[in-house]
Amino acid sequence: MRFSSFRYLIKEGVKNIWLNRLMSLASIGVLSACLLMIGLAYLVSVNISNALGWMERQNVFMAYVEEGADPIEVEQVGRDILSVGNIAECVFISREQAFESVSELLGEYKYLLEEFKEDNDFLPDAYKITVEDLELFDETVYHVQQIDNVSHVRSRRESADLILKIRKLVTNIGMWLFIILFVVALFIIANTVKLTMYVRRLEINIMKSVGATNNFIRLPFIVEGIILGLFSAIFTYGVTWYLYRTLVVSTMEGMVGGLAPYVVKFSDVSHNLLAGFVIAGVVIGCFGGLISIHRYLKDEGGVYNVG
Amino acid sequence: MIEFKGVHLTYNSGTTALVDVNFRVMDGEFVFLVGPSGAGKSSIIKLIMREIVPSAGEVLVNGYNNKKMKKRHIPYLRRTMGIVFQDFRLIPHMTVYDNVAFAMRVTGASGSAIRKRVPYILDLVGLSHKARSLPCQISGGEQQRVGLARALVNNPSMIIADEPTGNIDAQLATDIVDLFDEINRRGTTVLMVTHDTKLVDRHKHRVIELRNGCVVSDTGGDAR
Ligand SMILES: Nc1ncnc2c1ncn2[C@@H]1O[C@H](COP(=O)(O)OP(=O)(O)OP(=O)(O)O)[C@@H](O)[C@H]1O
Ligand SMILES: [Mg+2]
Repeated sequence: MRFSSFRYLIKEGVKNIWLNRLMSLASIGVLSACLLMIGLAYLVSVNISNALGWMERQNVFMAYVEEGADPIEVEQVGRDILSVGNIAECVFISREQAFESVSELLGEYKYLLEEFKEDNDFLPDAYKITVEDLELFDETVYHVQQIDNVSHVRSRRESADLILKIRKLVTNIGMWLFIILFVVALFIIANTVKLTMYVRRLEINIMKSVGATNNFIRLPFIVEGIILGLFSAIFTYGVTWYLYRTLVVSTMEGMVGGLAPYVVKFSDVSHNLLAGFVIAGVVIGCFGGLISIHRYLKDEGGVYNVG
Repeated sequence: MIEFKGVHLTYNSGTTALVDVNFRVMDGEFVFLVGPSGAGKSSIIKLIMREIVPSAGEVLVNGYNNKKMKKRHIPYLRRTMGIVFQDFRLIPHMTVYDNVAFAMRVTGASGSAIRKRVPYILDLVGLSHKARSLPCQISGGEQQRVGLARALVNNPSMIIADEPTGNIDAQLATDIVDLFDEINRRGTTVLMVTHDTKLVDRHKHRVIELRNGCVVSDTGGDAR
């Protein structure tokens, strides 16, 4: 194709959007909302993966002492733990210390804990155990569990299992969300382009009567779809960036400062996110345009009568 | 060249529009296609520009066989003819110049070819001075001349016109047909549908008359 023709087709595509600007704006809005939900699902999933990875790398677990054990028994538990083997470090954390550290984690929300202060079951005495060889982690946890007066142990792996389930759920929901929103977005774009086509039906009719090829007729509408998709992608990227920074990161830092290290930085995912939005936007726009022009050229393709 | 061989046409609705139509229009001819309303004149135009295919028989136009040709070749068939409609079909928001240039642009012509060709064609139809006007700012006769300019701009070997004077008053109609005459003298085949017997009488050309889908008379002769 000639460059002048190419330039002409792009210009026509832009003109389509302007000609139909209210509908274009509406479809950018809906498409952006779809992309935003997909983007947020992605961000949630990335954060979960990150937390999982971090947890899996932890070689620390907690052994909680039976409620009502006397100080001598508590000490005995400490010695027994060290005799299990593969123990790099074993630190006693009293109920009071645990309470302190949780309050610290909660920062300004620590008043939430006040009512638990007198509840002995809430935070029992515990040993924080660091294993030497991570390979033997599960075995070590098992042996510690068998010690007298150890009520239960909690390794981060247990939470990891829960998080794994959550991730699976989020991934599943994300997949369905993606499919449904993809179809919705496609439908929206197709309708917008169809409306433009209706507005320009006289031009299309003349193009056909003077012998323009179907590709030539089609291209401006595909360009229109792609531009709508691109606009939506860039807009959504901006909104996601803003939401993620202001809402997620800053409230997290304020509320539970201790969680901040697990939160994925936006700059780490920004490339993936932008690329994903642009690809999704362009694909949806392109197909949306194609669908409607295909139907139009098929059903109302007459030259003799103008609709 | 246009050739109809034993053409029958029945629309999906069941209406039979053409019955065993045979005629041949040679390159460089000027032919009037006449007949009462519903006789099948527009159906013949639609067959020529391959909007529809015949139910039986063959339609051959400039080397293309209507029925056998591939769909993707339709645009190239249409580039061999210029089509003029009764209702002008000008794009209202484009100037006279742009309306004509549009037909070249969408068939992939270069900018420089367009800048050379369009003024020449506008001059040919006598509308150079209206190039910057919008369709709503010129008369019906002038609008149809723009329609003709657009049909001519891609240098087709023939002009197909369905009642081109149907929407303009008598005096201007004669001017339009004079213009068709002029174009025909320069070598372009003209097939013009009309109701207007005065026009047909005044311009001495071959006349094919249709009635109820049948060719009832043809002053040109070599129908078969
Ligand atoms: N798309 C269509 N579907 C069904 N029937 C049609 C269609 N187009 C035309 N016809 C019928 O075919 C017959 C011939 O129509 P056509 O339009 O060719 O007539 P015409 O000679 O052009 O008439 P007019 O002078 O009024 O334009 C008519 O009976 C008409 O009702
Ligand atoms: Mg007709």
